[in-house]
Amino acid sequence: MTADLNVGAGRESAAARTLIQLTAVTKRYQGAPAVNDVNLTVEPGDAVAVMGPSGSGKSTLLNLIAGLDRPTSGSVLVAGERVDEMGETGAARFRRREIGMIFQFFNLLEDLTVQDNVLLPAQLAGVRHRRARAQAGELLARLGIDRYANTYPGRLSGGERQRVAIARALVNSPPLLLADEPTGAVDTATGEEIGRLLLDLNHEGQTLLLVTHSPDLAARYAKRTVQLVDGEVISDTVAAGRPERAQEPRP
Amino acid sequence: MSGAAVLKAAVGGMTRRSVQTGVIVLVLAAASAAALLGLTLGADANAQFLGAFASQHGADLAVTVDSAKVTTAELNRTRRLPGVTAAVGPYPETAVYLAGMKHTPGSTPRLPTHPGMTPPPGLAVVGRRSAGGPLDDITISQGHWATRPGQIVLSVKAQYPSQRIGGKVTVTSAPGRPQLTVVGYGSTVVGDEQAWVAPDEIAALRAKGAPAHVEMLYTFSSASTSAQITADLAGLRAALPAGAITDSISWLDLDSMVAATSAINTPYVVAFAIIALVLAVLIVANLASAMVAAGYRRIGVLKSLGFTPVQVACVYLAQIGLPALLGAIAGTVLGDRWVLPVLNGGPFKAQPVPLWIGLTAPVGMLALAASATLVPALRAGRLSAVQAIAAGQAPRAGHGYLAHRLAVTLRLPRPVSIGLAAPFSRPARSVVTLAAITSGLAAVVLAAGLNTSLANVRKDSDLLGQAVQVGDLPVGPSRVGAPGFTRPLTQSRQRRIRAALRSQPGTLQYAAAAWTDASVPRVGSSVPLTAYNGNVSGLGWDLTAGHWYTGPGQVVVNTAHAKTAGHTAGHAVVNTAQADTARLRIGQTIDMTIGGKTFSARIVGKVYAPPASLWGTLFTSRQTVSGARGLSVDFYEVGLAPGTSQQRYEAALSRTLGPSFLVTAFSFGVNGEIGTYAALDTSLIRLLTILVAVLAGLGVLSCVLMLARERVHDLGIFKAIGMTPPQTITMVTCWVITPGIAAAIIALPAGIAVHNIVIHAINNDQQPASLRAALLSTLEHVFTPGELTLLTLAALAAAAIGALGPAIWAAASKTTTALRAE
Ligand SMILES: Nc1ncnc2c1ncn2[C@@H]1O[C@H](COP(=O)(O)OP(=O)(O)OP(=O)(O)O)[C@@H](O)[C@H]1O
Ligand SMILES: [Mg+2]
Repeated sequence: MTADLNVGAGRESAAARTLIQLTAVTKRYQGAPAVNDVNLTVEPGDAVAVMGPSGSGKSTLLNLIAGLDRPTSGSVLVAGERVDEMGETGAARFRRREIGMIFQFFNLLEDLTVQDNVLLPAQLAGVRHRRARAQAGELLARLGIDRYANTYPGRLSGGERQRVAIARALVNSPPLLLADEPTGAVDTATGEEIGRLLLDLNHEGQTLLLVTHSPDLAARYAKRTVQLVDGEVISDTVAAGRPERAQEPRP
Repeated sequence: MSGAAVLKAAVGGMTRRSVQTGVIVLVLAAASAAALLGLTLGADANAQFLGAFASQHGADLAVTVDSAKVTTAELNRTRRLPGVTAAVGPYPETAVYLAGMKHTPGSTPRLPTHPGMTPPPGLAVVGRRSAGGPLDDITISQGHWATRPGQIVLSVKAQYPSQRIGGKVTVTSAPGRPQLTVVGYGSTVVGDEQAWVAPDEIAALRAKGAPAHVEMLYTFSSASTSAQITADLAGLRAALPAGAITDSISWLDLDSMVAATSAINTPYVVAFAIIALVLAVLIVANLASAMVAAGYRRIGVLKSLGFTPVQVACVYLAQIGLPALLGAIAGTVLGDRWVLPVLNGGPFKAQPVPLWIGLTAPVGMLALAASATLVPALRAGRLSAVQAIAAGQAPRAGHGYLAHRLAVTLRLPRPVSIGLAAPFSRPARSVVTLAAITSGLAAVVLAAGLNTSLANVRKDSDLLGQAVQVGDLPVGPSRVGAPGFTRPLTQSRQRRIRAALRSQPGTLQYAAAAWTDASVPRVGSSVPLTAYNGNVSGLGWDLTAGHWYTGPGQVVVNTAHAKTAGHTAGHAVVNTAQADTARLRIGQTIDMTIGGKTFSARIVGKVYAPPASLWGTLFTSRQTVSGARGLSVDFYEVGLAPGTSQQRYEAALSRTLGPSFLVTAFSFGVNGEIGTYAALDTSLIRLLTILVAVLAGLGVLSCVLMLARERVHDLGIFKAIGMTPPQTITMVTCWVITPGIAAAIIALPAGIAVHNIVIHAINNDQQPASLRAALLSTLEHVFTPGELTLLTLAALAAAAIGALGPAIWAAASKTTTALRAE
C-alpha cells in the first residue's frame, strides 16, 4: 500500500460529516417505483454492500447518488451537496470531484488506450497534464496493470479491464467509490481479486458503495449490507466486528 | 414468412429512426429536383421552345404588311402559294407608346427588356378576335381575352412595367391619349407582339399619320433552315407588291435566341446536378450502412425469429426504399412545379416536363438509392445471427491511434482532442462526412466563381461597344429587336443628323447605314445586308473570328443560325443538309447580287448576333456595293468615345434633334443587345447552390447523427466520468472539424476546377471574342487568398452548425439510458 496515494482523502471536512444522506428518496419511471421511499446514510470510510434481486432498484439507487438520474421525490445529499438539485453541468463537475464509478461491463472507451482511459476524468477536470499522468501512473502501478498503459482495452482480460476501470474511477481521488456489480462479468477467482482490491482501498479510507449479487462477497468485504426489494430497503445490517473497521482517513 | 412481416419490420425500423427516414426523404427530394433540372436542360435545351412551339401551333413566319400597298385579294392569294401549308390573318397591327414606358417620342424608349433585346420603338399591338389559333395560339396565363373596346391584353414578356389586371394604361402615341384596361396577360410563341386588343380597336390606337399595317402568320411545308425560310419569305415578297412586307420574324430567329441562352446556362446546371447526385448517393449509402451497423443486434434477433437472409436484406431495402420513393416523387413534383418555372423566366411559357424526364429523374434516383443500399443490405442478410448479436456488442477498436497521440501532444482540451481524433476511428463514416462537406463547399465555390466571373465579364463588357443609332421616328409597327428605322432619310434630315453628331461631345465616329437584301449562292436569295458609308470598326461590333472590314471588297458575316434544328409541322427534327452562313469561311469570296447587279467580296470576319434577320447577316462598306440599286441611307450608327455615358449622350442627342428623330442606344456584349443573347442566370445559380448546400448540410447532419447514435454508449461513459454537457457539445462538434479542414483543402481546387470546366463549356466559339476573352480572363484568378480563407472558415462554420444539432442531442441524451444500451 503506497502511503502517498491519497486515496479517499477528498477533503478534511468530509471526515467529520456524513458522506451520503438519502431522505425519503423515490424514483418512479412508469408504473411501480424503481426506488421507493429510501432513507440511507453512509459515513466516510464505510463499505456498504447493496443487495437485492434483479430489478429491485440497486442500479437506480447508485445512479441517483451519482447524479446521473434525478429522484422523483426526496433529497440526495452527497458530500454536503444536494445532488438532486444540480443541473447537468453541475452534476458532471460534482461527479468528477466526489465520485468514482465502476460497472459490471467495465464501460471502458474502446478506442482509447488504458492510460488515456485512466487520464480522462483528470483531463476533463482540467488537472495539469504532468500531475494527471503521475497520478495515473501510480494508480496503474498500484493496481498491477502499468505494463498495459499503452494497450487498448480490447486486448485485456475481464479482471484487467476492471482494474483499469477502478484506476479511472480513482484518478481524481474522489471521496466516494460506487461499484455496480464489479465482479458480475468475471470468473470467481478474478472476482475474489477485485473484492480484495476494493477491501484494501476501503482500508485506506476509501468510502465504498458496492452493488453485488454475491452474499459471499458482501459478507467478506463489506461492513454493512443493505437489502433492497422492489425499491424498498428491507434490511440494513452491520456485521459485528468483521471485517474490522477501517482506520479513520488521514488528515 | 410473408412480405407483411418484412414490411412490418421495415416500418418498425423507420419509425424508430424517424430522423434518418426524414433525411432520406429530403435528400431524395432535393436530388430528384436537381436531376429533373439537369435532365430537362441537358437533354434538349430547345425542347422547351419546341414544345411550346408545337403546343401553341407556332407559325413558321410572321410578317408585317403595309395595308396601303396590298389588297385583301392579294393577301388571300398568299394562302394558296406553293409551299404554304397554313396562313392566318390579316390581323391589324400598330405600334404604340404607353405612359410609364419611361420615354417620350423622340427620345429612346427605355423599357425593361429580356437580355438581348433592343428596346423596341414602341409596343407592337395586334388586333385579334380570340386567343385561339389556328396558328400561334395565345396562351392566357392571367385574366381573359380582350373582347370589348378599351381592353388590352399584355404579353407576359411585355417590355412594360407590370400592371395588375384591371389597371389602366394610357396610349400616349394615339390621338386623344386613350386609356385601356388591362384584362389579361398572355404569351405567343413566335409572333413577337407585346399586346393584343380587339381588332376594331387598332384604328383608334394608331398614331396620327401612321400607315396601317396588318400581320400575317404562315406555316410552310419546308421551313427547317434559315435558307428555306429565306426562300419562303422571298416567295411571299414575290407574290405581293414590292415593299408590301415591311418586316418579318421566323421561328428560327426565336429558336436561336433560346439556343444561345441555354448554351450558357446548361453547363453549370449539369455540373450542379452531378454534384447533387453524388451527394445523394453518398448520404443514402452512409445511412444504409449506419442502419445496418446500428442494427446488428436487431438483425440477429430478426434472424433468430426465422427471417431468411433475403428477407433481412429486404427489410433494410424497404427501410430506405419507402422514404426514398416518397422523396423522389416529392422532388419531381417540386422540381416540375417550382424549380422549372424559375428556369422559364425566359421568353416562353413553361412547358410540362417531358414524360420521359419526369419518369427518369425519380426512377433513376431510386435506382441509385437502391444500389447504394444494396451492399449494406446484403451484408445484413449474410450476417449470421450469432455474429450479428456479438458484433452489436463489441465495438471495434484500435483505429486512429496516431490521431489520438497527435491530438494529445497538441495539448488541446481533452473534449476537443477526442473530437478531433474521432473521425479516424470510423474511417468510412468520416469519408462520407468529408465528401458531403467537400461537395457542398465545391458547389459554393462554383457558385461564387460563376458570380465573380459574371461580374468580371459585366465589368469588361461595360467597356465594350456602346453604340447609338439615329434615324427617323418610325410610325409603323416594328419587330422586337429590330432597330426599327423604316423610312429612308432625306438629304436634309441626313445633314441635320450629321451636324448634330459633329457638335455632340462624345461622338467617336459615325457612319450612314443602308439596309438591303442580297442574293448569295448557297446562303440564300434574300440575305439581309447592312452597308456602312465608311469604316465603322470603332462601333464595337464584337467579332467571334477574323476582323472587321477595313476596305471595299470585304464583308463580315453573322453566323447566328449555325444550329440547324428544324421542325416540320410541329415535329422537331434536325436538318443538317442545308448550306448556311456557318459554313462560310474567312478568306472565302462570295457573290452578292443586289437588284440584278453582282458584287464580290472576301469574308474577313464573323459576328454572332442572333437572330440574323433582325441584325443582318452581311456587313460591308458601301463602296463594296456601290452602284447597287435602291441603296438609301436608313440610319446613322454612332460609336461613342471611351468614358462617354451612353444614356447622357443619347438624351442630349435626342434633345438636339427634336421629337421627329428616334435615337436608340444599344450595346454589344454580355448584357448588350448584340452579341450574346443571354446572361448567366444568377437566380438559377443561387437556387442550385441552395439545393446542393441543403444536401451537404443533410449529409453532415446524418453523418454526425449516425456517429452520435453509434457512440451513445461511449457518450454515457463520458458523462458518468464527469463530462459536462458543454464539453459533450464541444466534443461532438469537433468530430466534423477534421473532415471540414480536409474538405476545404480538397473542395477549393475541386470547385475551381469545376468552375473552369463550366466556363470552358460556356465559352464555345459562337460567343463573341470579347465575351470569350472576358470568360477566359476569369479563369486566371477568381479568388483572392482572403476570399479563400473566408470560404474555408465558412465551410467549417457550416459543418459545425450541421453538427451542432446532433451534438446537442448527444448532450441531452440520458446517461442512464445510454449506459443501459449495452
Ligand atoms: N431508464 C429507465 N427507464 C425505465 N425504467 C427503468 C429505467 N431504469 C430502470 N428502470 C426500471 O426500474 C427498475 C429497477 O431497475 P434497476 O436497473 O435499478 O434494477 P437492478 O436492481 O439494478 O437490477 P439488476 O440486478 O438486474 O441490475 C426495473 O424495473 C427497471 O425496469
Ligand atoms: Mg443493476
